[in-house]
Amino acid sequence: VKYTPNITLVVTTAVAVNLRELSRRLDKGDCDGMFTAKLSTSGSLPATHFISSGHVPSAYLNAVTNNVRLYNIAKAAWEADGDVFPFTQTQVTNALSNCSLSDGTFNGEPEGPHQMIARLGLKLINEG
Amino acid sequence: MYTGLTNLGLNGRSSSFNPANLFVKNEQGAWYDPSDFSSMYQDSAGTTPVTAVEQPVGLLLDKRLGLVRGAELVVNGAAPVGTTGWSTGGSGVPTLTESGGVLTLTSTGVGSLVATNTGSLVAGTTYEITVNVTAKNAVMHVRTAGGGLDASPLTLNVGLNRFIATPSISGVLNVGNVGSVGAGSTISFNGVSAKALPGNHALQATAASRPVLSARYNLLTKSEQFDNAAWSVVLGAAVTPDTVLAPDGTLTADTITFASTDYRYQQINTGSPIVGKSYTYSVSVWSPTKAKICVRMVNSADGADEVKQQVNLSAGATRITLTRAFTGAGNSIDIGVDNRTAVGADAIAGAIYAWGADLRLTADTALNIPAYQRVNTATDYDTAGFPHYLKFDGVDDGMATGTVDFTATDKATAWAGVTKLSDAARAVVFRHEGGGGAQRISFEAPNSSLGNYEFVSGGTLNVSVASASVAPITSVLCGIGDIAGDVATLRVNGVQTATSAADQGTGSHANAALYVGKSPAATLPFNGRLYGLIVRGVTSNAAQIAQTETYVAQKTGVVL
Repeated sequence: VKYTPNITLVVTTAVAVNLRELSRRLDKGDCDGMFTAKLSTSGSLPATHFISSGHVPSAYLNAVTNNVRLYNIAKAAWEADGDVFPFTQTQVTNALSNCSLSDGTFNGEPEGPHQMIARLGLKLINEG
Repeated sequence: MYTGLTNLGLNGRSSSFNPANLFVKNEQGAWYDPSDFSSMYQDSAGTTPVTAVEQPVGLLLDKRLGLVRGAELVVNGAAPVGTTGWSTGGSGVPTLTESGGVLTLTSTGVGSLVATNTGSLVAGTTYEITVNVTAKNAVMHVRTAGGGLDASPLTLNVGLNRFIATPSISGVLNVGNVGSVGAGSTISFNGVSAKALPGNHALQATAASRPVLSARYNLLTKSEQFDNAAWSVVLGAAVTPDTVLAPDGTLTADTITFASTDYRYQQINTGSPIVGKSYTYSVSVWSPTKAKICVRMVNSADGADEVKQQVNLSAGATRITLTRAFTGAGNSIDIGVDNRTAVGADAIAGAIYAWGADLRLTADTALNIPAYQRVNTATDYDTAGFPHYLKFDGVDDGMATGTVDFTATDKATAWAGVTKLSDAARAVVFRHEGGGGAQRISFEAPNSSLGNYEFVSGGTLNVSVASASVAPITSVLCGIGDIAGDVATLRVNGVQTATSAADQGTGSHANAALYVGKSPAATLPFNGRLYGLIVRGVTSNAAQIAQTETYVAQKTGVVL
């Protein structure tokens, strides 16, 4: 498996469940368990967004950076499991439109996950 | 009386100490060492070793028992002679043959096909497993009968497959496919091995949540290539690369020629600056002709927090150092050399030599590391002399072991080398606890009061002790806990900073997973660096405490 440099994905709560399942299906091991860290504008519950940040398989990043490619790859992953892909191209496109992706830079300057969270006007919810 | 230690030095400190000495009686615990590449894998299945910095760490082996492999469990697996030790099963009614030291499993019908070895694996024990596949024409796996290795059967590729895995259930070793594949599906293999690899190994299955191995301190890139696009010319200057011998004797110093006194030369490059924290910029400059230049650093977002220094140039290299706390939100740091008379340069157009730009946390200047780190790219930089660490992002990174049984003890000693990068939120360095959060052993950096370190020891009642420390800061932590004795003590950099005799209740520590970088609830992510972690489920004497602190300090760059 080849991994990408550090990337950060922030997704809205509305699509997080489906993107978690999609990530699990796309890569049976490495991408199961994504989008569990919670975000909101206040830093308190309820979560409005979820975040994953780190190195991901290159194939995963390739899939989630293009609407049509993601639809085709995801559909194939569902069908490889013997299941019917439950989403339309429009739904996949809408889901991706609810994602913010950073490759570690913003406006040509380095951007870590905490800076990206701040740029989006969000805060980590630190439960515990 | 513990007698396993030798080479006691002054005050009980020794440079030849090996933490494995703390576990010679098979004491329960863990020892994680990010400076040892042989103990780390990029994936949680242990198929891809960590070979360089800036790679993710999905499996971190516990070194406390020496990483000694157990006896071979597979019968007739390495270079098979006949099919002794193997049997077949599956609805595909497979056949198993041996030829030239290679076993070939072939299904005669549609369905599953399995070659089963008599070697049996035990759930919860970690094994190093190899299978050499010479050919196959369908998806094939290795697993324990009726279950997986780790969470699922491990997929075999053609070639030597190597895994470090912990069976979810006990059973004999299977090679094949327990699903449904076509008639004539086949796999040829040899080199099958399964050996126990004792230890409480920590793993992270989710790629994006893995910490990253790093030894990076200089936040800049292209630190010796001022002609690179990473550096920018604001008002014009010419750079001729690699023209002069640098202070390290290499021909890597560049000539920067200013045709006007208005010219500047800079790099806007920050890594991830921490608002309100101090940074130190240094660069070597010298000139055969010019008398003065200005070096400066400034918040590139709003021009605030500027610090500049007029440098009297000479024919020999002088390393100039600037330090400044940055207060603005979302700031990035602009560093460079500046030929404007308004900021202190002379009015003479001309050339200077420059080499070795370095921007780091001012807190890192207190570490026993070189003052300059060559950085080419984010993954290509000098590591000699720079302590390796696991970088936890404070967002979702963390690792966990299988269950670690501390129920035979009510005592614990823990050591960690850490850099706490932020005090913005409570964060767990490591935690081991029973149901409901009691029976805890843990370090937090910081705890809920922020701006501190915390150690917790507890039986039915947890007792925490904390001492102030403002991020960013690098420290060697030692926690000493005793439930029955009602002792909870925190030492920082070899000095006791907090202790409590409050009642810790009764009972022992727990039989539970040990979490590193996050809480058991996958919350409280640690934002910082972990240079090493040792947890020991017994009382440690003064010499052991001091020696281990010294060892961790050396791995961390802290001078005790």
